[in-house]
This record gives sequence, structure tokens and C-alpha cells, in this order.
Amino acid sequence: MLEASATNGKTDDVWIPSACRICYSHCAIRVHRVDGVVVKIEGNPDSPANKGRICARGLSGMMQLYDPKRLNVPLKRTNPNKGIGVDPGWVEITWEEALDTIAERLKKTRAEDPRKLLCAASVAVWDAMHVNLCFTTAFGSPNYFFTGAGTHCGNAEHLMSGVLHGAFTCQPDPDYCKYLLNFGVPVGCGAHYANNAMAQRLADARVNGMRHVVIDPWMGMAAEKADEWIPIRPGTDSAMALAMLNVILNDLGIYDVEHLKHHTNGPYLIGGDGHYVRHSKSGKPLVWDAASGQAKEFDDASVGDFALEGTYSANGVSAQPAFALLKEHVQRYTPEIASEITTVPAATIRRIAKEFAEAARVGSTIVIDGKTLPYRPASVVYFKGSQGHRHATLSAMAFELLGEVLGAANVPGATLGANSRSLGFPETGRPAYSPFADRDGLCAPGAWVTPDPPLPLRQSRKPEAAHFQDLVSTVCVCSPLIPFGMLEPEKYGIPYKVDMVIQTGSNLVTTLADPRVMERALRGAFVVNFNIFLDESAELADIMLPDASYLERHDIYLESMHSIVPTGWWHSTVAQPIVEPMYQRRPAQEMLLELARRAGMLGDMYSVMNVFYGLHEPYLLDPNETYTWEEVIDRRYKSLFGPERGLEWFKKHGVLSWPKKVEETYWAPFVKVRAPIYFEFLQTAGEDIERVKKECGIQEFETSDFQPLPDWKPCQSHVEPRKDFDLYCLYYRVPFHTFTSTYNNPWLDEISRIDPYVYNVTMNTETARKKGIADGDWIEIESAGTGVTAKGRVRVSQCVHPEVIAVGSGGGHWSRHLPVASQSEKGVCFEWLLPLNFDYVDTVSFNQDLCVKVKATRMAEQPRKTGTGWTVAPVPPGLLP
Amino acid sequence: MEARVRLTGMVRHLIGEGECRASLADDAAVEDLLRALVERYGEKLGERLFRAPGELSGSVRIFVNNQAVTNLKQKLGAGNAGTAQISIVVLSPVSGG
Ligand code: SF4
Repeated sequence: MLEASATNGKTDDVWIPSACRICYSHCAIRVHRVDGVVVKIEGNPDSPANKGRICARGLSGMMQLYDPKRLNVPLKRTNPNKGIGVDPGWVEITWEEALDTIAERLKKTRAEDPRKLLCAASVAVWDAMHVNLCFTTAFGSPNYFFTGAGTHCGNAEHLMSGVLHGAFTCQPDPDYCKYLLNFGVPVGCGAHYANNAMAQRLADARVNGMRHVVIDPWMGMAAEKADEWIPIRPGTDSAMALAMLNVILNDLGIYDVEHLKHHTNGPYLIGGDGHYVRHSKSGKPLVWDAASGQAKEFDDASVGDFALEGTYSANGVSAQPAFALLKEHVQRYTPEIASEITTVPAATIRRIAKEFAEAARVGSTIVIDGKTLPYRPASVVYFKGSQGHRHATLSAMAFELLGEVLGAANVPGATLGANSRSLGFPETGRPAYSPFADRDGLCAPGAWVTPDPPLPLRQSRKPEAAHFQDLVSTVCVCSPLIPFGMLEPEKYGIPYKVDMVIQTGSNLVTTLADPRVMERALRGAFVVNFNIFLDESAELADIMLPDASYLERHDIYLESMHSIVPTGWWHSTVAQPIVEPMYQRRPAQEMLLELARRAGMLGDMYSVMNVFYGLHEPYLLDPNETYTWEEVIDRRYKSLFGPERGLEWFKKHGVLSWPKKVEETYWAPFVKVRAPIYFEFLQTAGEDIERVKKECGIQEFETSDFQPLPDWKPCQSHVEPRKDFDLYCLYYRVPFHTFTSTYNNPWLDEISRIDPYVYNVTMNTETARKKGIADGDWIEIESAGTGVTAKGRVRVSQCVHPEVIAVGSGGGHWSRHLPVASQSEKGVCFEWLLPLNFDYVDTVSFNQDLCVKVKATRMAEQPRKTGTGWTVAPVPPGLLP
Repeated sequence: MEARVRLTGMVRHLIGEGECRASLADDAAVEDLLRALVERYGEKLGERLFRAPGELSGSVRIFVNNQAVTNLKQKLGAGNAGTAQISIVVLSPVSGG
């Protein structure tokens, strides 16, 4: 029960600690409740992460709680015809009927083939996402899929963060960084990990002299606050990075020799086939010991001097150290060639390369807590935008290598893996994890958000899951190709067809590129959605279940993701209800446990939860017992922090924190692993995938990008042959919205309307003038990829690259049950313009290509403003019946 | 000795029911149990459990009498009056981000 106190004549007037869960930053909050009503939300100053600060979304949380359009009762469809814009004919049912119906379907599917169930979740409903994962695993299905803004994830960044930083993602070191080279990430500016926590820290870093350079086609939240904004043609950032690498390695000759020799695979010998030359007996990669003039195993303690350059004979083959190959490989990327590709002047590329390399202060050291560490105050960050292209992995490689050759990784001032290493809460030593060496000595993450970290490398297998991650073993996060595994399983040898889908919070139809593809995939399945609204995906559901919002439920707080500020303090925060669930709303977590019970799989669910939540004796869940959701949370807290610190302790105190150790934050000098600067494992993975493809007769999933060194290659949008499709359309994250989930919030709507750009599309002033388009005009934007035409109202600005139309993310809703969001002037749903097919997906990481060529023309007949908005359809005409 | 095994996760379509019993030598180790299970349910189960011969897949977790085990050589029956409770969880590959 919630604590209440009587003051000022009120029956109830309390501030309750909890966590905001409108985005995955999960800031610590305190919520003011008066007479049972939430009246205010503030940041919790006890948290060492967000230090009492929250963003606009966090402040507006009660508008979501009390939104009159919330889904409050279970519904079932009566119209058998499913489709976008088709009224499902909802009728109210009881929870009993809903749960019984679903449980019967689950039992039948599990008995036939458990793989026919697909579960989907949203990172915007983080906690249910993990319970949903446990549910899927316990059920026995491989088909689990979680989405942020759908497939618009940082797949390639996650892959590279895993193998170079031992972490799911990275952040710049806010305490010591002096030069932040930012390829389009709104870090500390509204829409990246640990949003509020990093905002304050990076603002302080700027005051302390950190230079911030942002490369981005759109002057977004980071660029507008930076020292320098460098506009660039979309999808070409890696060409600039490669040219910078060439300048740094070959013109300036600045690189960290000690780091390359001892902390990377730079000395590993590479044969003519592109693979490591391996020891004939142990199979370990060989290096050349310049001191003894011999080839030796990479971990041979007698190596006196690792050669980084030269040509040697080892195992009877001619071989070169990986570093030498990298140095030679990037020579083709001169600043002049990169300038042609990127539109960034060659002189600018040279200058930024020099500034960055010099800022890294190769050779310098710093003493922190009595420990002498390398000091490399230069950091590179990149995420969705710059790596969101067809060749995402090769781009991510290029960005990472800028820091890696300078030793600017996981040491003071550099790019840091976010929570790569934990030595545990001092009293219990938990959670404890650390990067570790795979069989080739490369960095494998100690903790990962999913069961499949990028290293150690998995073997490719015949596709069994609809998301194809068993075939493409390098994919360690989301798969935009999942609809194809659902629609045509036989084509890929998947031995069943998905016929049941359970979603928690995800709006798959508006977040997974072309909505028509997911529409087709969901049509053939029995679909159950937990949601707080009847959003666009509800139109494809068979049963809708009213979820509780974060102010109405308990959650488990996962430290590895939310304590994602790289420096300072670890913290764990309570996530508790402020009010009881209203109407018939019930938390999805609890209902999934109830469904597991009714389907006869609760014991299996507990077995999986024991693993997933890292429970220990005496707090393991017994498969033969029954626990409430609160008891599960209590056991997790106690497993981590000891018997004194269970759920009750957290409810009362709110936050538990302890300082990060130098060995955790700046772990590289303390852990014996090597970062790849030559990605031989990708070549191995590509060959393995080809083998399986051949065995199974699969044509798709071409593997030409499984190469060990980076290149810039054109995306579909760069080779569009039709000249009138002359603009790149891209979207940018809006700091006061979380994907598509917040657009019905009236306070956030008000900010969005005040902002000149969010609900409009932005075009370069000069480009618009040449096309006869004026500020405020309505235009038609026709996609070269989908053939769909969307309509948007133009704002002209010099803050966007001349070849670009920029769209705010998450807008353009059409659900009639989201009356605030679904109005014609509330933005463009970018997904209509973005194709969903194999040509728009990076085959190494499954990153969705996020830019598309479009044709923009002023509408001959300009819409009129009426009392209810503009006379423009929110969904492209012809797509609604 | 007898091992009571609960197998959970991405193996259900291979084994049907999630619980089984195996009779093993008194000094049997985890690897002996896994070998017996693969013999009973087929090589497809082996592919799920092992990354390479003798090397457990990264997505498999094993508990013996409620203690997490990573060493396949660990004995099953020690101190358990001839019966070991085993939980094997095979985690699903996950798609998301
Ligand atoms: S950053 Fe995210 S978690 Fe923090 S207050 Fe804003 S919406 Fe809430």
C-alpha cells in the first residue's frame, strides 16, 4: 500500500519517490499526490544521475495518466476485416473473458508449435518489455521483438559498442573530454540515453572548455548548442570519417602505438585471404615479434615488441599486421574525394582531423584516485542518423576507428562504454560483470541487453526465427525484416507460420517503415495488444487490453541500462505506483504472469525470470510456488543488494547509489582484452552465412559488407536514377516526444505547436526559393522508395542542408482515438515514405536505412485552415478504404 | 542417482513436455546429463545446448540444486541424497533495439 499522510486538512498529501518511464532514461522522480490525485512531478534530487532534473515529457506525465482518451476496458473486435483505417468494431468484454480467450489460444499454439507465437514490445514500456521477453522464452518461441521507434535503432552502434567498448552503447566522458566530435547525436540535448543526466554534465563540460563539433545534415538539438555545425549530405558521414582517418594516420602520423600494440588486434598478422594467420596447433592468431624476429601467438608473454607495420612470412604465408592494412586501406579516402561525396570542404575535413587528433594528446597520462591512466580527452559519438543507412556497420566502423587509433576509448576523456564493467554494490558484490576475451583475445561484453551479444561470435544457422537473427549471427538488436519471416516463412525454410502476436506497448504499424508491410503481416495472426491508448496498431488487433501507466504500476529497474551515465555514481531507483490503476486498467507485467498461469507455464516463466533478473538463493523463484509481481521485484532487489534492501526499503528511500570506481569507468587499462581495428570476425561471419544460405537455397541476405575494413558505399538514395527526386528526406528526434507514444499529450502538443518546425517539414531557404516554395506553403512529398505521397507544411531555414527535407519524428497519427495527435497539421508520419525491403537494410546489423529520395512540389491547391485544423488528410489518400 | 530436469525455453518444440528424469551414475557431472539428454532428444537439442563440442552456448543457463553452474565438469549429486534438481534455460535469440 502507498504511504499517506494527513496535512493541511487534506486526507492525503504526499511526495512519493519513483521513476519516470516515458522514455528509457528512467529519471528518478518525486510525485506529489493530494487527496489521491497526482498534481505535480519533479526530478528527485537524491538521484546522482538526473540530480533533480526532468524533461518536458517527465513533467507532463500526469496528462498521460488522466488522458480522457486512455483505454480503460478490455475490448474485442467484431469486424473480421482487418486493415489500416478499418474500424475493428470494438465491443467491451470482461478481463475474465479476455484472459480465458487468450489463454486458450496460447495453450493451443504451444501444443502445436510454440514458435508460432511472436511477442513484440516497446522500449517506451521498458519493464513490460522484459517480462514479455521472459514470457516468450518460457513459452518456447524464438520470436521476440522489441522496438524503439520501430527499427530505427542504433543497431550498428550497438554492435560496435559491444566489440570495442564491451557495452550496449557509448557516451562521451563528460568529466574529462575536451573535444567532442559528434556525428549527429542529440547527446545531452533531449533524446539520447540518460538524457537529463548527460545534459547537465555536458553543459558543465562546455563551461570547462570542451569543444563540441557536430556533423549533421540538420541543425538539431546538439548542433544548435555546439561550437561548430558542419552540414553534410545524408548517408556520407563515414566518407568524412575515413578521410579524417587517412589524414590522421598518413598525413599527420598521429596514433597511439602503445594502445595499438597492447589493446587492439593491430599487430595480428593477416594473410592474403583476409583472415588471421593462426598458430598451426592452438589456432590462435599470430603476431610478429620484432624483438626476436619470430611469429608468436598473440598472447605469448615472451613477445618483446609487437610489429605494427611490415610484411612477414608466418606459417609459410606472406602476412602483414592488421594496422598496416588499415593504414594503407584508408589512403584512397583523400579529403578531396570525401568532399565530393559529402559536400564538406576538403579544408574543413583536414582541419577537423587535425583538431581531433591533437586534442587526444596521445602519450599523456592523468592520475585519478591514485591511479595513473592514459589521458585522451577526445571522443567520437554517433547513433541513429549517421549510421542509419544501408551500410551502417561499415559507417560505424569508420567512426569508431577515429578514436581507437588514438587510444581514445574507455580511458579518461575518451568515448566510454556505458556501464561496461561493474564490480558490484560494495556490500554484496552484485551485479558483477566485466568485458572478457573471446578465443581470439577480442573484447566480448560482460553484460548485454539481450541474450545475444555480438561476441563471442555465434555460428550461423538455418533460419528458425522470423527475425532471421539465427541466420545472420552478427545481429544483436532489432530486425526490420521480421514481417518477411512472418509473411513468407516457407521461402526462407522457416518451418511454421506465426499465427499469434502479443504486443506490449509497441505501435508496430507506425514505427517499422512502410506501414503497409506490417499491416499485411499482422492481418494473418491473432493479435493481442496491451496498450494505454487505441493507437494505429490497435486497428490490427483482435483483443485490446488496458495497460496501467507508469504512475499506476510497479516496475523492475534495470541498472545496466538506466544508470547509463558513464561516470560518477551507480544508482538503482524505485519504480512504484503513485495511484492504484484506474478503471479496469491492469499492468501488463502482472497480466502476462496471469496468462502464464492460465496457460500452464508459470513454472517455466519463473525459471526464465531467475536467469533474466539474475536472482540468487535464497531469492530464486520456485517453479512450484506462486508469487505476486511485487514479490518478484522484492526478490530481485534483495538478490542484488542484500536482505535489508528489498522493495519496502526502496519504496521508502527511493534511490540507492554508490560511487563508481576508476576500474569500472576507465576499465581499459585494467582488463586484458583487445579491441578490433581489423574486423576479421565479420569476414568469418559472412562466409559462415553464405555457407548456410547455400545449404538452404536462400538468395537474400547478401554478404558483401561483411568485410574487415570500412568503406563508404552509396545507399539506395544515392543511386536514385530519377533526377526529379532530388531531395533526401530524413527525420530527426524531437526532444519533447518519445517516438510515437506522446503525441496525444496536450502539454507536449502545446510545446510542439509553439516550436516552428516539429509539426512542419523543414526545407533549406535557397532550395525552397528555387522551387518556388515559400515559408508556410503546403507541399507534396513523393517518396522514390514507396511511391507514397505525403503532405506537409514547409518552414524554410538555413539550418538544414540544401539537399534535405527534415521531418520531426513520431508525428502524423491517424487513429481516431488519439484526437490531439491525429490532426492534419500535426506532422508527417515519415514511415509512409520509407520502404521496408532488403535494399534498405544493412545486412550485417539489420540497421534500417533511414533516408529516402523524394520529390517535393508545392500543392497547386493550398489547403485552407478551418475551425478544426487544415483541410488535409493525415494519412496519404488512397491508403484508407 | 536421479536427475530431475526442467528444460525451459527454445527447446520446447524439440522435447514436448518441459520436465523429465534421467538416471545417471552416482558421480555424474553436468556434461554427462547433457549428453544423456542429447541422446534422448536428438542432435537438434545438442545444437541448442552447445556452441562447439564441450563448449556451452552463450544462451544456455544451468542451475543445479538452485546454484548457477558454468563448469560442465561439476558433479550433480554431491550432498543431495542421490537426487539432483536441474533447471536448464535456453534463452531465445532476441530482436530489438
Ligand atoms: S528524460 Fe525520459 S525518463 Fe527522464 S524525465 Fe524525460 S521522459 Fe522521463
